Amino acid sequence: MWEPSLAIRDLDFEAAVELAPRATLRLVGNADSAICDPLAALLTGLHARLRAAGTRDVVVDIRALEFMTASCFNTLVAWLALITELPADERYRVQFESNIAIPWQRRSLQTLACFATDLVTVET
Amino acid sequence: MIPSEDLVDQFRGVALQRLDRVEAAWASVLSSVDDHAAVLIHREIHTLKGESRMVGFTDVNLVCHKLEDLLEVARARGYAVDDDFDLAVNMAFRFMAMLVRKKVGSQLRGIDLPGFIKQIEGILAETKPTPRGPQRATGPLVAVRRAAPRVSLPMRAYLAPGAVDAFVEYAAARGARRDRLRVSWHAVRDLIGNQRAVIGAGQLAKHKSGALALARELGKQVDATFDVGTAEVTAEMLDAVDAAVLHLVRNAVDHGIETPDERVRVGKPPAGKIRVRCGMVGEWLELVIEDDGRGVSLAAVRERAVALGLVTSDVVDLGERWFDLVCQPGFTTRAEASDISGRGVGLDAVRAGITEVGGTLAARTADGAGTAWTIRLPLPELTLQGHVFRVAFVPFPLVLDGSWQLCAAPVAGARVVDVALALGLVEESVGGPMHYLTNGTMTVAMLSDRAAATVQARRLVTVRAPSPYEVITLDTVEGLLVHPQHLTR
Repeated sequence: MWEPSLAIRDLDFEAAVELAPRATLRLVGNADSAICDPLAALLTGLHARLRAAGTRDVVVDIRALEFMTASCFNTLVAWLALITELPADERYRVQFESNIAIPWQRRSLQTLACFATDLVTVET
Repeated sequence: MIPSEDLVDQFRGVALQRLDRVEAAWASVLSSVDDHAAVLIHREIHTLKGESRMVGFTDVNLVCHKLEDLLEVARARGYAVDDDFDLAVNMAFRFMAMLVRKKVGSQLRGIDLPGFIKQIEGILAETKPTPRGPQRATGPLVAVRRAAPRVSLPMRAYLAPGAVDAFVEYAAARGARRDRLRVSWHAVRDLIGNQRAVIGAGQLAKHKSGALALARELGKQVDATFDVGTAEVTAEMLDAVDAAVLHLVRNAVDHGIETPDERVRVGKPPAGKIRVRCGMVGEWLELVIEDDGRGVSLAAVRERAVALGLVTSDVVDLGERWFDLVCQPGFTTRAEASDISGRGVGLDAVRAGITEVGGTLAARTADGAGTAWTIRLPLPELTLQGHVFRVAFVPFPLVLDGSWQLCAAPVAGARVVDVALALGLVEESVGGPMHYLTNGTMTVAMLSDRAAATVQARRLVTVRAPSPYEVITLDTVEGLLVHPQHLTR
């Protein structure tokens, strides 16, 4: 079930959240600088919902995310920082599902994983 | 000594403030060249590096050190960096903030510092700036290894305008479209882009040893001297020069230099002299290959030319025509071809190759005193000094060459051009501070938040005038060299 309150629908970008049966954040299209603020707000909301539900794992599906600016990517880093600051028993893991055919994703996600190797996994 | 808790807390607070300032300054310096912000970034990171070392945050110190390397690359490029680079810098800020927040001396649980450093080093390896220095390269010759088939110069000239458009489309694209267009652009670029080479003693040395070996084979004695300076040329020029020296030196040994007995009989030393000189003369590369042999037999050339119907029998003195005749395809004075020469395919190939790259071939000969061949090639302007601008919504740097001088205000009545708009890179004028430049006859305006930085650009795809732009590179970042005088809008 997709959560209408946790969604972004822009001309060239879409973000959608599903909390059950498996917590999933799906990002599609081109995330340019205009998306940064809405995405940061969405991630803050998602973080609160996941904590409230006691979720242990969330999937971030970016297989159809063609482009993301550095400033937008920073919102993902900030989200990870929020998770790492939680007490150990409240942290949840983030699994990125990436697209090997999109070159920027490989390096960016490898670098992102360095922030929290115990929390972040990257699937291709 | 373990720093006091107060000192560490103070460091944390100050460091996080520094990182906030640096992050904002980085965004500013990318969106609009901001000299103050650029200075601030370097100063703050360097200070943070020292402070972190003092309080025992060696991991922060290490990331600072690597970040300084990244920032040096960015500065060298006038802060014209690509998305990957921008992301790496931003993540370094965030990574340091995370390291600053952790408790001093605590383990880096879950934080992969070596992995992060490796990622930065990977980017540095890919974006390492080329050394800056004199425009003309020095040192040993570096022959270009070609990765793609090349096309002829006329075809390159024909394709160049389309290639520049392909670059603009690729550079302005995003996402999957950008990835797709990158492949196309790189294919065209590899096919027709300027490939630099350096000509020097190392390249031509093989022809000296070849001449000596051939002389031994023919029972001749040769004293060969190669006096070769270095110059930056195109790969095509290097190929043409290489072929010319090969043919002309072999010709000198085979046709020009007499046997020791013959030389002694006419009062010459037994060893013939071949001298090769190569160097820059003004804007030209001049290559002279001379010998002190018997010279070209103008009588034999005339006889052969008459036999071939190239001149009429009433012509007694060929004058300067001998040179054109010996450069005719298939022309030879040898009755039989050997495995060395005599097929008449040498000099015409030399002249054709030199002409194709815009050069000239000339010769003078004296009966019994030798022959001198002179090749002159226009030195290509592969690098240039210019002013780089970053313009809002244009995702690559724009450069105006050094003939344009910055001026405080437009000359009265001068045409004012928004370059990005005139090039069709933006749909409407984006506003912002104007930077005026004049070439003495006209004034143009660059609408950019940043003051211009002086850079050395390398011509990648050159388009013949009156094109308004061509593709250049600033280190590894590609951009446009704009010729405002050819803008029509």
